[in-house]
Amino acid sequence: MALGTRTAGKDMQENPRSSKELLSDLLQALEGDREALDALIDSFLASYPGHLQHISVAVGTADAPYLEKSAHHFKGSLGIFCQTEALELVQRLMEMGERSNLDQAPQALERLEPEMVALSATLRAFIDR
Amino acid sequence: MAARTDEMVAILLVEDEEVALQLLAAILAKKYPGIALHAAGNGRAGLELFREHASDIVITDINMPEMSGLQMADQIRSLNPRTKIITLSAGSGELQPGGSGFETDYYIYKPINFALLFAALEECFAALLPGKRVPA
Repeated sequence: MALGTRTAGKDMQENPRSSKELLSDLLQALEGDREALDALIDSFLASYPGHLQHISVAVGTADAPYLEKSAHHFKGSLGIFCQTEALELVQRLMEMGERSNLDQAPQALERLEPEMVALSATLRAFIDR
Repeated sequence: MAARTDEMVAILLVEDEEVALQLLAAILAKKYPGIALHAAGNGRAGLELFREHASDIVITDINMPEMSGLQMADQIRSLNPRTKIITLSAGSGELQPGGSGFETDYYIYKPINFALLFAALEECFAALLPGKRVPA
């Protein structure tokens, strides 16, 4: 029988860390294995354009349930490497989908795209270092 | 990953986002090389792996296709009530602790603070039956 749920980690949602700090944390959790972290970054860099495409289709077709689902899915991997502007925008898009109110979704998507370019540059620079 | 023996702790990891699954698997394999680790991409596949390997601890995302983490955990508990269950959640828009009427042992918010995840796991290891080899 469960002893009752213990919750933890809300503070990291409330006090976001920079991508550089997150990479440092991940490297520590991987016990300094740069190769493993580089492989994970490569996987993320290869997969995120597909996530953005799903979100873009959902916004373009005003499909709120699909927007909620695709933004939620993207948030899972994005949050590993980013807790700032891009993650907030994806969170906002997910909430717009939840509320079925997509009025501001095109603007949020427009802001998300350059944020992702900047994040990619940070991640690539980490790999190339 | 080590081949499992009866006294090894077995962990089932269930997460539908591929990069997150890879990351968790890599970190757990590094931190606890003595565990038997199995991974699935949704609740239904996770339940099948649980039936196959009788995992001691389940770490699961909540929102997943086919079968949610909580639906899977509920069925796992009916198969073995002693199984320790750690849920990982983005929080917003998802069920909160106890909100489904189903209690997990630990509910850890994403982004994951790995120190908290390790602390939860080590409490789970300590609570497992005597005779289980706690991973170094």
